Amino acid sequence: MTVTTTLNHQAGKRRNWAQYVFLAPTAIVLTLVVAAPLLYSVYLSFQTYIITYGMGDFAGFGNYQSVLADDFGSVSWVTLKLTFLCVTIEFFVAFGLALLLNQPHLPGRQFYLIILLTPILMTPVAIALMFRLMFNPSLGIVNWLIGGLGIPPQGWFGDPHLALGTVVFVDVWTETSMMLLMLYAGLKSMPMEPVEAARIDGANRFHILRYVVWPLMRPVIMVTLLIRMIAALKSYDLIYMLTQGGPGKETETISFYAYRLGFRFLDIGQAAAVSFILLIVVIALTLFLLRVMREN
Amino acid sequence: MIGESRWVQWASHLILGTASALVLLPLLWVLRTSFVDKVVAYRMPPDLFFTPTLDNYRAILLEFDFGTFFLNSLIIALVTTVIALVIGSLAAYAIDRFRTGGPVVPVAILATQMMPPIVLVIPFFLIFKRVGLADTHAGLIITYLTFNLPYVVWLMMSFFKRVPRELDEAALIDGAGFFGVFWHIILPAALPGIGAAGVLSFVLCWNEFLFALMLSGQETKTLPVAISSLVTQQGTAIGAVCASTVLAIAPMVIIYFAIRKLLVAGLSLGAVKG
Amino acid sequence: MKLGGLTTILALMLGTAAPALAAGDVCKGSDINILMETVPDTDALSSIKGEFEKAHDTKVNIEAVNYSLMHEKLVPSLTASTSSYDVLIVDSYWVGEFKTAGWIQDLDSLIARDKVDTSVYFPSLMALNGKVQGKTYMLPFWHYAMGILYRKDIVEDPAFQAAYKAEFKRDWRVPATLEEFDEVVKWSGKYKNMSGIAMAGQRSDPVVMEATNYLFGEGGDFYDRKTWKPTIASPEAVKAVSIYADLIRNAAQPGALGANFDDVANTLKQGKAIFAISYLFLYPTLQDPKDSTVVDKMMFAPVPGKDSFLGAWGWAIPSNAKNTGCSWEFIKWVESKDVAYKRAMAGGQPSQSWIYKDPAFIKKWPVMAQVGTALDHSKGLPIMSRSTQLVETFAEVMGSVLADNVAPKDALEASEGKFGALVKGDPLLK
Repeated sequence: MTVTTTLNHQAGKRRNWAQYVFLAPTAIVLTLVVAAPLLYSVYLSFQTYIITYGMGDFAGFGNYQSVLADDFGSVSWVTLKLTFLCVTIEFFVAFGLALLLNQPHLPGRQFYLIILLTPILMTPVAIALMFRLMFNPSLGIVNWLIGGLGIPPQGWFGDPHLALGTVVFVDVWTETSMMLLMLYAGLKSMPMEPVEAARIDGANRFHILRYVVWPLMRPVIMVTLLIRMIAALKSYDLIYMLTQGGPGKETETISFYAYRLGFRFLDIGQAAAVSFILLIVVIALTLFLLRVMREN
Repeated sequence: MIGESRWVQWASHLILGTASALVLLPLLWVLRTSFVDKVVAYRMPPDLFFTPTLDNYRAILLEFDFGTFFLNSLIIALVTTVIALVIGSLAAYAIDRFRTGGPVVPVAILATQMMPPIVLVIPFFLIFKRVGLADTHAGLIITYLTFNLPYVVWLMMSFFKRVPRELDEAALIDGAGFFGVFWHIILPAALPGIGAAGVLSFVLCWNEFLFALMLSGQETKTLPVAISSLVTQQGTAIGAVCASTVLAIAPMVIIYFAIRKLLVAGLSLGAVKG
Repeated sequence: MKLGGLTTILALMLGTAAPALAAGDVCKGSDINILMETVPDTDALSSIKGEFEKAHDTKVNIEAVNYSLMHEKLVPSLTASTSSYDVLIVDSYWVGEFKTAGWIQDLDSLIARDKVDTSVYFPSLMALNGKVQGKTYMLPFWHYAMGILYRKDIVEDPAFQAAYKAEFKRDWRVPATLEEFDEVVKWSGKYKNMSGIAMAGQRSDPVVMEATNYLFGEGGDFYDRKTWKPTIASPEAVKAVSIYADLIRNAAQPGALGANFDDVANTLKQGKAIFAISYLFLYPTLQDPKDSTVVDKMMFAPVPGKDSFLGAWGWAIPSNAKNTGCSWEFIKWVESKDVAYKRAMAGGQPSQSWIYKDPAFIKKWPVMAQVGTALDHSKGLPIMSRSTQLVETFAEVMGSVLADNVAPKDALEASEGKFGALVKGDPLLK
């Protein structure tokens, strides 16, 4: 008895320093590469700093006030719409496909998996160019195909009413596969006994899904949604390559707005203010989502 | 009963087939475009029969220095991934097993994921110029750790959760060192997870655009930046873009086939459970 | 910025001390790095840069990127202690910004020292991409004159001309005013059952480059260039924007609002549109049978109305350059008559006027004969510190008119304040 206690005690001591040694490299790296630049940009957000004129005076909340008064409302609305549409559609598509793929006897499963997961491997830059080629209103294959169905040609990225929807389509094409991978892996790792038991009890497919699979999958779903939502709120690559935020401001997201302020208007102070507000929005929505998931 | 499941099977194949077609057709279109001249690429209605040309591939391989860009992407993605895996899994182990630093640490690490990369670019550039990291592989590797490392830590935490605690507790009591336990017990048990995390982090680095755009130069340009430079004011070399896309996916497809099983197994292992 | 000034002085001192050395020594051990756009002029330079490398025992690294990425890549580099680039090419609408920020060096002493003749350049280009406030900061590299690109084969078809005469009661002529252009484009599109015009309404750069031609064509401008009061809501501007909106709604190819210059070029190349107001430098690709179905069918004419929009690029040396002497050697070489001519023959857009009088050049590139006229009736964006932001602001106005259907007058009037804010405190305009 005494021997074990001593050992445990010693182990506890060693544990104390060993764990910090384990954590240290990551903590140091993240402090240097994330926390330091973040603090620097928080500082910048309170300065008048237009690169052309050099560093100016302390601005107080001036930068925050001007961006909030200017376009921030419209770009937040676009960002929220885009995030909500993308995350919801991608989730339902991915979850549906994952359920179908996870059926016990499905010939061709590997074939479907290989194809459906390919978009993960592609760089968004190339995907965007590919879809600009296909959605080109007068020279693209899409308008030619829908023409065959008797639908008149559409302007896609150039149509104020369709632009956001078309961006959502491209985003869904690009990002669903990553969600599918995570959800499918989650289903694979789910214990099968409760499902079997329910089936033997005569529950139908819908009931099994609602009362057995859903609760078991909830943690996986939560993490998947969280990761995707954070990424969608920051979405930038696709907007940059597809529409540059246009037509008008129909597809301008907060990230792209920050980019525009920083690299086109060269107003680092305002750009930093926008990105900092974006960070707060992301954190707030994350906490909100976490709470919703926990309450359910 | 049999009737119903036959019906479900048909419906499943119909839905999966449609989804696969939606993914596959654009890819085939890219493949086709990589083998045609621009004048054919934009012709509507499309030519069903056309004379394929290797000009696009010749152009990117011979005139465009594709090899260098490919190698840059490979070096940067590989090194970042290895570093992230090594230090990330150590941290994940400490956080999962000992709650090192309390509940704040995992949240803080997740929070770093929320940073819009745009915020980081200018400070990075200014700092890198001063310390001579601009236009170097090392510089890009450092910036890639900003999104890669937190991602790996989170994935690895969920993988380690799945390794039964009794395993390492028992080994510790038997007098094994901490690193020994980590090396001989935890790592082997979480190996598929490490594989999956490695692949995903490699993919993230391979496809990254913004940092590479701002922080690379002629020497270190990565593939996505190189592809985007084929879009010019004078016209997009769409054939060359498609050819580069095809060649850029190729290695990923090979990796993917090689470790497909590992990937799904790894992620199933890692699926977070309560 | 103080540091930048200091570096300039030091560099100039070194520069003036340099003549004692042979030219070859100046570049020993230092490469020349240049960030360039992927355009024909860049290709033309790449193919002959070996001459300079051999003569000076150095290496010239050209980093060619997409235009929209250039500014983003240059700015961080210029704000750093030493530049990643040894020679800059500066777009005409960055000139004011780069000068105010102190990023580019005054070249006058070098020009005087080496007796470089700047009178070979078109005066309009020298004014746009050479001198700022009386000092020479750049040597013009190439220009992107804009004009009407149109289908010669269609408008010269007798049947078309007869129908034109029946409609407009006059013989065919290239439209001389924007109002006439608007009418003719709409009519000919309907008559030929194709798009009358290919337009690029995508945000920022494309829509602004196009719409500025309409603005200048109507005789409007962003500011009164003496008092720097915004004139963006003038009747001329309202008219220009209305015509632009009318064309994009009623005559342009479908989806023009999301199109960029590449889409315009491809629409023309696939024979889907009759007119475009776009860059002359697209011409070589319209003549490439691998790209285009309209080889030898296109012609170029100046923008109708008063003035057209002119843009250009100029060579400059960054204030934080590693080796000013070598950068200057390179610029001298690249703008020497012999090299400029070679670049022109390879499909570039020369900035030196004598080349346009060279018969061999005009024979190889017949459309270039029109360029002199186009340059005479053209002006650039105002040279102001925040002209890149001017582009963004005008793009926002165009967006609200084209996408959100705000009346041109309302949109332009609403933007006056923003245009006013852009020139506030600008040291270049005092």
